[in-house]
Order: sequence, then C-alpha cells, then structure tokens
Amino acid sequence: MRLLVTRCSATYDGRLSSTLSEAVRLVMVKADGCVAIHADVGAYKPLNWMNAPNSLTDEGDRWVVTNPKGERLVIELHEVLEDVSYELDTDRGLTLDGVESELQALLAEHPAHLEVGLTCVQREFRTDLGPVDLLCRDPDGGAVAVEVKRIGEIDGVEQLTRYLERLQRDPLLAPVRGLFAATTVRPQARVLAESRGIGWVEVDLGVLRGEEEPHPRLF
Amino acid sequence: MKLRAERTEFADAVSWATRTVGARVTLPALSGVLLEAGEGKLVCRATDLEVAAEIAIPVQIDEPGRVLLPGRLLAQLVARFPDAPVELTGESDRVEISCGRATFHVRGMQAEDFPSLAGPAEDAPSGRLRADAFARMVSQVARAASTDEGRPVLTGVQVTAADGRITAAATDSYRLAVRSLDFEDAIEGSALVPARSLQEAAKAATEVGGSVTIILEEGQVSFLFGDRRLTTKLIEGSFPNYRALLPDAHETSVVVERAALAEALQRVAIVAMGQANTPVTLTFTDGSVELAATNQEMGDAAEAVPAEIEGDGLSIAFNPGFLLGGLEATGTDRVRIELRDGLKPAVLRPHQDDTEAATDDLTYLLMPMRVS
Repeated sequence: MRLLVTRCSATYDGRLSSTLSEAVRLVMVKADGCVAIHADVGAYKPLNWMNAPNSLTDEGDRWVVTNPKGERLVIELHEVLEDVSYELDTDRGLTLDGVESELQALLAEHPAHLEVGLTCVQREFRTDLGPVDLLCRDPDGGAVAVEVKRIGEIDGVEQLTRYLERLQRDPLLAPVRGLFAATTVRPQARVLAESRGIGWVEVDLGVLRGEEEPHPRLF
Repeated sequence: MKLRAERTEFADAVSWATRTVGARVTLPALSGVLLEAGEGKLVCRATDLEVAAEIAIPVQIDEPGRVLLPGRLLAQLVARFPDAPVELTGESDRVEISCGRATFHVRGMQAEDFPSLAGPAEDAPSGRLRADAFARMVSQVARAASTDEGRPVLTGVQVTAADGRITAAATDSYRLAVRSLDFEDAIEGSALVPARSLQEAAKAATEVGGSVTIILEEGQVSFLFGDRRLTTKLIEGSFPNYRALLPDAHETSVVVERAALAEALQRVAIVAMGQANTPVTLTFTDGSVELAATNQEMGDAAEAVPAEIEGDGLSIAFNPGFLLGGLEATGTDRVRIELRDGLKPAVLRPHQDDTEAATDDLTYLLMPMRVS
C-alpha cells in the first residue's frame, strides 16, 4: 500500500471526462493496482479512482494510470508532502456478527436473556416441519418455542407459527407459547407476532457474548 | 385575585411544587406554578405531564382567583423575601407581589393553558403507611433502579400491594432491592412507579411526617401527605419476574460490622476508581473478610475486616459502588451476606444478633463481577 499526501490536480478520460483542480489530497495505490484519490470528506468514496488491473507510469511529477479499457487518469503532483509504503497483511475477510447459530448457542446457554426464569430444554427441537431453534420451559413449567433470527422479519414469525401449530399437537408439550428472538425485530414482524399471541424479544449479541459486559447481569 | 400569605408557608409551597416536578419543560405553561385562591386556602400546582404536585396552604383571601406564574422565578423571589407577610394582587397578565417594602410585578401566563391533570377519584381505594417507614423503604429500594432510559421498565420501582403488605422492588439488572412493609390501612394492586417520582414522594413524606396515603389507579398513583399531593404516571411495560431470581439457599453466610466493611470498601475502592468496572474482591476466610483491588495504572490495595463466617470460605468480586449501595440500604449495625459461589448472586440482609429484634424485610441481591 503506497500512500501519497500531495498537492495535486488530476484529469480522467474514459466513460466520461472529469477534472480535479489543484488541492492537497491523499492518493492511494493498492498492491493490486487500484489507484484512488481521496479528499478529507466523502466517507469511503474517493473523488476519482481506477480499479485494477491498471498500469501506472511514474513520470516523476506526473503519474499516468491506464487500463485495458482505454481509461486514463493523469495525476499532476505539484508538491509531495508525504510518501509512504507499507506491506499490509493479506486479507482475512470480513466476519459478520450475529450469525444465527451463534445467537442460538448463546441463547441456549443464557435463556434468561429471552425471558427471566426461562430454562432451555433442547436446541433444534424436532417437529415434522423442521426443527424449532430452542425449546424452553418457563418458571411455571409451560413450554416455550423460540425461533432465533439475526434480523427478525415477517417470514420468521410465519415459520414459528407453523412450528407452534405442530407443537400444540404434542400432548406432552401443549400449550406451547411462541417467542421470536432477534437482534432487531422489524415493526411489521412485531405486529404480526403480537396479533398471533407470539412474544418477541430483541437480544444484544455483544452482551450475550459478554464482550461488552465485564459485569454479568442478574437477567 | 387578592390574598395575603405567611411568607415561610408560601415560600415552602412554591419551592416544593416547582422542585418536585423538576425542569423537564416541553410547553411554556409547564414552567409555571398555578396559584388558585378560594375557600380560605391557596392551592399551588405544578406539573411536567408526568408528575403533578399540589400543595394547599391557609391564606387570607380578599378576592378569589387563579394565576399562572413562572415557577422558578417565583420560587427564587419568595425564598429571598424578608420575614413579613406576602401579598398577591392582580390577574395573570400582571401580578403584584409584595413583601415588606419589596414590590414586584410579574408577568404571568394564561391560566387556561395549564394542563388539567386528573387527580385521584373520590372513591378510589386508598392505603395508608407510616410516612417514616415509607420514606425508609423507598431509600432502601429506589437506589437499585436503573437510570438508563433505554430500558424504561428498569427506571421504575415495582410496587405491589397484597395481603396487608406493600412490597417495593427495583433492579438495574446488576442488583435487585426488594423490601416489604405492613400497611396501616391496606389496599390491593400493583404499579410500576418512576423511581424519581417515588424518591420525591419519600422526601415529602420525611418533611411532612405522620402518614402517607397511597391511591393506586389505572395508569397513575397518588401519594397524599397532609395538604400535599403528588400524582405520577406509571411506567408502561412489565417488570421482570424478580422473584425467580431470588436464591432459595446459600452455602456460606457471613455476618460483619457494616460500618467497618463500608469504610474498608471505600478505602480499597479508591484504587479501583478511575478505571471503569474495576472490581473489589472479597475473600472470606477464617474469621475475616479480606478486601483487595488492583489497578494496573495505580497499584493495589488490601484490607481485612473481622467477620463471622459459617460455611466454606470463598472469593467473590463486586462493583464497589453497588456493594456500598447494598451496605447502606441495610441500615443495621451488622449485615449478613449470603453466598453460594464466586459467580452466583450474593444476598445482603440487615442483621440483628437478637433474633427477637425486628429487622427490615430487605433483600439486596447483587451480581458478582468476573475477575480475569
């Protein structure tokens, strides 16, 4: 990764033409050949960029970036304020939080986050329409079927409704209460759940992991 | 309106009404105190739409009437008045307030803009408690309520009236305080009362003394103390089923001098301060409890306090602030700490050596911290 803080101007010719007048900017050249010109605004988005594959010709105070599609970015370097290069680690990829199986495992371990006094009887409890994520018991001994989603939407409520319909037929379990758990429950899903007598609860993955919470909670 | 009031009574009334309601003003009229003169008394009212305060004082009335005056300004003025009767004359747009040689003209607001909040219904069932016992119960319990508006139900105190007793419970999810008290006149029902309002009610109970009347209604609760009334809206939502959290057994029981433990805790906690979530570890061994805290930047501290221990010794770490809160709540010279292991909630209770002596029916449940 080469980073250049420079007073520069640039012209781009390709799908369209554009010009950047002279100003101090950050020019980023990635190891894969991508070139991007950033200003101090605009979040992640560069003012101008060329995706790899590119070829960069360094003519001293002028860089010419071309690609096979015939696009051409010319950067005039009027003054170089900083020029550094670092070797970055190879990409490890982005890990998305809130994976359902992790949520399910954590909630099975700490069912009190769903409801005070709840105990988990079984994960992946079988019904003939597929397994419901958690089967729990409340302090009064009532069965509670829990469906866990990362984002709680209407289809998750529908799914839980189908499981509940099957579970109610089991004389050892019935009556079974439904509980819909997600890190975020969409408003439509809340309405649908409530209209069907299904409870919903939003759970905080960070708290569940105990990462943000050095102080454990009572419930 | 034209009236003459005794300065101290008038100042206390205005100050109580404005202070009790607080400063969360959303409408200009809410910054006002409504003064209503009639039938030989002056009624001062203030509200922020959540809490309503009302106080009546005897005054000499020449002309009845009602005016809405800026609360804070009025409270500041009358607090500094000389010790002489206060006279109020005029209508809302211009009220003359005089006391001794001082005369003020205050521009009021439209009295009609003051929201009329329903007081308790005449026939609503009311319970009665001793004011000092009520205030004590609130001070013991409300401290455990959360201040995080993100979880509104935890900012309230769950008040349950049943079987001749009133039970108050509050939790911020790290600790739970529960206390019961006998009614003088009992009612039945439950309410989730904002902790702040309840603390104001307790303050008024302490000031007025005697007994406090509690009226539980749909959506609101009123507290009556002599000529004062505080009505507050209830918090919507269901309070956690805290009874399921209360442990029914313990492995180790510790009795310790409260003041000695609290003082040692405060000393040791100084090292823990400055670093959020630094616990103080308590190690219970033969005849003593050793407190220890370590802060990587500042150093460490340790102190031992004599204690009577029944059962196995163990180590457990707490947030020092929460533990201190529990010790303060118990109120007795000696406290009992009941423990199961280092990771399960501990219970603090008041302790009297004389088993015949009465103690407050208080349970303070405290979640320990993990120590890495």
